[in-house]
Amino acid sequence: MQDYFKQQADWLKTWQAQQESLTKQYSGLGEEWIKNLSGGKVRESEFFEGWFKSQGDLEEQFREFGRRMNEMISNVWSNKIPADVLKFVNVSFFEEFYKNWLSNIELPGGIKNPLGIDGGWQQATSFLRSFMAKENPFFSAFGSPNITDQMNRVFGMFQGAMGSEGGAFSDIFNNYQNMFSKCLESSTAQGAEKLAEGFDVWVKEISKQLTAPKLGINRELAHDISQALILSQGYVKASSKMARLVEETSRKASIRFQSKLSEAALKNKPVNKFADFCGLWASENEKVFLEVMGTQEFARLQGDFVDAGHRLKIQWNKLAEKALEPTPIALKRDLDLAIAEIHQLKRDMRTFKRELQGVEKEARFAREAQVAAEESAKNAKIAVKAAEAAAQDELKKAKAVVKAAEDAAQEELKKAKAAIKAAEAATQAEAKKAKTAEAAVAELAKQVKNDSKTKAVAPKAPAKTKSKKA
Amino acid sequence: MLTFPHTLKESLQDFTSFAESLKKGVENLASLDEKTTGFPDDHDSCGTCRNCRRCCSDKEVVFQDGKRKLYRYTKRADKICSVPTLMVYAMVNRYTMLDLQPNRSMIRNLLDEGQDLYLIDWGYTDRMDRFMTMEDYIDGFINDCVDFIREKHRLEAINLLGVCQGGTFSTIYAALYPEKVKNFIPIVTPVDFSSKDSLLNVWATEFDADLLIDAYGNVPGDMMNSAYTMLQPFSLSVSKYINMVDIMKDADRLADFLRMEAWIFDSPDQPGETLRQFLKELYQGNKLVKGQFFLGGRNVDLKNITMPVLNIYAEFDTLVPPAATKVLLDHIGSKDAQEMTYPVGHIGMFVSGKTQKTLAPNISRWINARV
Repeated sequence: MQDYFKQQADWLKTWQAQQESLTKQYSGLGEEWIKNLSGGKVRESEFFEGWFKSQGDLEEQFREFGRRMNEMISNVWSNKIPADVLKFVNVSFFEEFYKNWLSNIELPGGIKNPLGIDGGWQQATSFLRSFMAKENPFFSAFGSPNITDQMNRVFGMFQGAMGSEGGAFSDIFNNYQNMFSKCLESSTAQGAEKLAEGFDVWVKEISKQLTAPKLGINRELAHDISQALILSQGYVKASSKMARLVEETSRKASIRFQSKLSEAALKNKPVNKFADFCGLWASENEKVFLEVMGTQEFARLQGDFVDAGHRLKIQWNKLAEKALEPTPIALKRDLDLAIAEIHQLKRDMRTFKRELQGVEKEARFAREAQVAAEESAKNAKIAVKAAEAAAQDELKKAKAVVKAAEDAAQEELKKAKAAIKAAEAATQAEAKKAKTAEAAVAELAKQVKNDSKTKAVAPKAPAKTKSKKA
Repeated sequence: MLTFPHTLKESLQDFTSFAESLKKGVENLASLDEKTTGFPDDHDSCGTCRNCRRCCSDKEVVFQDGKRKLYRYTKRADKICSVPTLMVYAMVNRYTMLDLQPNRSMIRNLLDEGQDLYLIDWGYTDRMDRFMTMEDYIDGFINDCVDFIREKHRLEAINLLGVCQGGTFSTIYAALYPEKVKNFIPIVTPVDFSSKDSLLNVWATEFDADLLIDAYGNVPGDMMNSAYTMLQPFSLSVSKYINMVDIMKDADRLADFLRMEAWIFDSPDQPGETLRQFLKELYQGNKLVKGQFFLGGRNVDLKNITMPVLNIYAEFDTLVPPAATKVLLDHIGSKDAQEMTYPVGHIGMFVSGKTQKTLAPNISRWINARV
């Protein structure tokens, strides 16, 4: 691959060198022409001969360039990115641009540009045709592989089954196939319309065949085929309406693009750069197309076209199924049924799984609740035990306190008793003393009494002394 | 009209410089390797994406149901938010948009902010998902993931962050299970589908969704992509690739461009029944904001959304215009509800330079104040 790239890069270098030499050649021709205008000797016809020759060379160069580029891109990208990307890449734009660019060059002296107005992209329909031919999606979504392949398969199968001796069906199939192929080859509204007209005639022919069938024709199959024909007719009509709209829009877009080109040239800002030219072409076309494509009318036409294609495809699917019925090959509807059944089972399974999960969850909750209850009972027992121990401890402490208090009380009692005894003893002693004193007093009183009796006998003074003593 | 020969030389020089850019671009393409693009040649990828692109943040699968996976991202900060956040991305593209490359990753930025992130990967829809309904995805897998995370973290409720269609799914979930959602952050989330600001809303009203699903079963991702491309048909399929020539000159920008392209076209198919419901009930019936939407037999009443809500939307979003998302706050029961807007588009919200520095810190700050 590396060698290939080197080769391509070398080729590009050569191409560039050729470009430069052609540019010089053109400039030279331009100068020669200017000389001519100022009275030179070279005749105009000779001059333009050279100019057109160079132009031809240049066109060839661009064609070769486009071809090489396409080849290179395909070589490089085919193993890197999906085929879908590749089908969008089409550098034959170069050639188209070149033609368009040349056709825009105004030749001196009112000489008609040989490339004319029809060259290149100015005719947007031709571009769109190439656009479709390149299997660009959307326009070709129903055009190529899916429907035609299926049709060919089905018809091929029928034809094979009918044998080679011919007959009404073979004719019908052959004609049908040919007509439809023509329809698909034609991508213009006009072509599709012509084909639709052809269809009308042909459907009438078929109806005749079906109303008076030849011997051996399977009426059910014939009915299915005629249905397919009617649907094909509908599809062709819908596509022709769609194609007409696309053509009209392309025409509008083309006019708009050309007027923009002229506008730019009049403002002395000609669009003569490839990228700018393409950019302008794309943006102007897009504006016009989007305006149309945003309408409900377009949506309706497109819907009709798409629906017609789908109806036809469904009918062909049905025919293919019928063709396969006698064979041991599994039919699409059988597979569909099996798949649908599998899905239903999966759904049921999911429901059961969820129910199971729900039950498991409940069981888990119950288990957890049980464990929690056991744990809490265990904890309660431990707590009770601890409480009992604490209570015992408290009791002991209380008893000790009570005993200590009792002891203290006893001690106090003893002390009190001793104090009482002491007090009693003291009291008794005091009482004794008092008695003694009383006795002494009484003795004294007696003595006093006696003294008073003896007063008369004895002097008063000793009596006074006694009193003091008393 | 160009005039001969004045602009001739100039134009040819333009071509020459254009060719010069291409030459440089080709050289850059030649030197691309896994390190710069994220596309390993040996296909030894993490197995997350169809195109073997390595995501930039480390993660592991913590829960799985078939192809649907729940990832937990490896922490990147010392201090981690105590309530994890579950991210629900849309089914129409891959979640890798949130983790495109180190310098463009909302996930990485949130991890750096200390968020504990989980993410739902819907996987690539195949035929087995044909009959999967919104109930299967919302009431089924989202709810399973939320329960898984709640149980793992021993939490009653977790944060929920929904993006685009994933935001709509998350809104429905938050209305059905408000007790399991601590904080709700919808980003570019459509809830009102009546707005005519988006072409998708206009187109969706005029086609038969039943026919689409009956014809295709699972609707191809390419078809969905075509519809998105048609929102800006010329910008997205012409201009972008013309401008690419300029981008190609710079190897880093080229690698960025390729990564983004790979993401854009990495579109899983849409499961038929889910898309039928989404189109009929929401896009066409607009039943969510009307209070008429039922999931698994239960009415989805947005008034049940009472947790704190941070509604983030993009000002220039053409896919989910502001009108489709702003009204959420008018319909919910939350007292603590805020909105935040950025001047970007739908994808720009996650990859533009404007949001890289502010979006994740703002979300993180808002969450941290409420856990």
